[in-house]
Amino acid sequence: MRDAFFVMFSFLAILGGFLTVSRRSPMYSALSLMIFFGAVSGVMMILSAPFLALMQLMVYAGAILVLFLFVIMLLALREEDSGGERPWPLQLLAGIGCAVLFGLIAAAVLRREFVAWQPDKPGFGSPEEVGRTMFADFVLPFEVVSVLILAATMGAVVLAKKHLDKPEPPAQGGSTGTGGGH
Amino acid sequence: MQLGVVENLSFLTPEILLTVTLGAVIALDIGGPKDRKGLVARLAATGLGATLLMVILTYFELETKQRARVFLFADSFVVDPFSMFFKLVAGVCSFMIALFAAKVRRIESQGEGEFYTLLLVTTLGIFLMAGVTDLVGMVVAIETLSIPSYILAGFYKRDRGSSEASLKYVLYGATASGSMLFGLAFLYGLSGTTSFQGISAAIASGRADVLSISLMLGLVLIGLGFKISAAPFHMWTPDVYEGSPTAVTAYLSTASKAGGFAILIRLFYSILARPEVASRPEGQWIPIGDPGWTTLVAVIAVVTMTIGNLAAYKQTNVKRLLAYSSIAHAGYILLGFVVMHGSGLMAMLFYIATYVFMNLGAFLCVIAVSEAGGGEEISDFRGLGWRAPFLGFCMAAFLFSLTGLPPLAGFVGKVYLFAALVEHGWVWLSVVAALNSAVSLYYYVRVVKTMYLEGIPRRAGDVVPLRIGSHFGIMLFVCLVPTILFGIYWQPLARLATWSVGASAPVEARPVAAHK
Repeated sequence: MRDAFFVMFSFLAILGGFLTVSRRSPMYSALSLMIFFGAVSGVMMILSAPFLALMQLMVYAGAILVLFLFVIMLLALREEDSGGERPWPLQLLAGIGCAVLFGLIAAAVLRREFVAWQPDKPGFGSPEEVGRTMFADFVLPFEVVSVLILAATMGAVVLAKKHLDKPEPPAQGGSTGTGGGH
Repeated sequence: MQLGVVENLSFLTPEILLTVTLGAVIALDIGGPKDRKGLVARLAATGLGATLLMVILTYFELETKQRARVFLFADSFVVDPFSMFFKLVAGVCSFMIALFAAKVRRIESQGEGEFYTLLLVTTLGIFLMAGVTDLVGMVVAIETLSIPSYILAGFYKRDRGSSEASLKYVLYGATASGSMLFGLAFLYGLSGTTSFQGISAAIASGRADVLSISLMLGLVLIGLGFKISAAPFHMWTPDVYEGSPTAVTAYLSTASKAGGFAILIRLFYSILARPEVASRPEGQWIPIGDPGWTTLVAVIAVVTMTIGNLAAYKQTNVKRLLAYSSIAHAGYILLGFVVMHGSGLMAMLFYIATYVFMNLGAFLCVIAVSEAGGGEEISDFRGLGWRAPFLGFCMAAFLFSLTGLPPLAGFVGKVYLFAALVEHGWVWLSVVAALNSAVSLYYYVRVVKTMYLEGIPRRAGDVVPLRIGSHFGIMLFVCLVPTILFGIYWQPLARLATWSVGASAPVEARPVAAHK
């Protein structure tokens, strides 16, 4: 039973991932990503991590995906903006890269069973246990993430704000890479 | 040694001070007086200076108490001389950059508050990278460095070059982070733990397979190779270095790289190697399972330095030239990594410490020239040796030091690296590296030649002096002193580097429960 669900969800995840990268229209890509998020959330459920599964649905399939869709709609991309077909050598190279990556991972998986995994604590994956892990073992990364998010917010402000009232001083004689395009 | 939360915090004073400073910078930027020209810069520089002081104090505390290392937060973070060395280097870089940037008009007009906040966050990221011994902390630390760096690269918003730099950096960076995370996820899957010691213990006990772990560490190497701009993950470097504000370029090429090397050494030496005698990390190291990763890194180092040096030949832009030079230097530093001996690690640390000063100095010259109304093309440096004698002299010294000519710091660094290589049987590698150094002389000297032998004034009265201002003059001097001093009297730095490797170095395998 569990295996059947696993096969179903992982198949959906692969399908969603494939559609995300293969669709020409960014809108369809984003929607395919939703399939992927949902399927991964299902896999997490099977791995007895219900809290993470719910968070995955709420944060990724909910908030982040909606944000993607908004951005895509606001940009109002037209067909010609989405870039043409890549030249075939590049496509071939990307294909080889993916194949090598897949080969490496498959080799690692086939060489050895992954560590036999079972929930080692009662209540594993529950909100209480996740919270305890986060605030006990991983309190340092947790706190640093808050600084990181602050910096990211600040970055959004830097990128979005306009100096309407304060024009930039005239460029100093050819300073700082005006010709950057290479 | 396990400590409670409060004792933990006392060893994190530098990090806490950094965080407090960045909070204060934000508060001052939002709520400070309207007419506060330069106040934010001064606050940030003061905070960084105080942080540096705390780093030095903690360093001394470790030495005097003879405590090689202190593990914090359930063994996920370590305070040891090795991490303190990198914190010292990164702290010095950030401090210097904060001082440089204070006089760059364009940063001021774009918003100082944002610039210094982001700079402080990146510094925090590097401090954490130096000390983490856990995969989760490692990812968070690397992203804490990366994400603000992407924004800083595009800080000159109306400048196409800067925007392009930012976009390229973020796209390459995301790909690199992605593959790294992929590798890390599999590392956890293979070993059942996220701690470096745990993974090492899992290999030792046979629960995890060395070859699979090595393959996954290969994926992680992509992410870290990107950070230190090692080939073939160096493609972004020239464009990003050229387009970014020069102060940011200087930062990316020094502090950011130092952080990358710190985590690279810690990760690989903790998981795939162990000291021959457990208490002597300054001696020989033995690769675990040896799937030939030292050879892989040796090849990467050779390719990196060769690509960097050959591509630097035909550059006409000074920043771009220095970008390729910094790629080449990443290759040199990687040489110490393959030696598998404490002397190699010590040479890396020594080289990083000297490289930071000469590279910062070279970029500072570029900033000073462009702030004084000059440009960033090599042709803009014509006759600079006559127009600004002190700046010309400093630039020449930094470039010769980067080449590795005696009696400058770069020479001593290279000697340590090559000596470590030869001593441990990597003669071919040191020959290739020496050839590379010789090749690099050409393009460094070309800049010096442009400064001194072109545009020579006919009469003394013809000289159009380029005034760089006392601020940049003093800072150039500050970079010049270690560049020359460590070329003549390098023993203290060498002793510090040796001690930093010997007293702690990467974490040895300790029995740690697979699941905490």
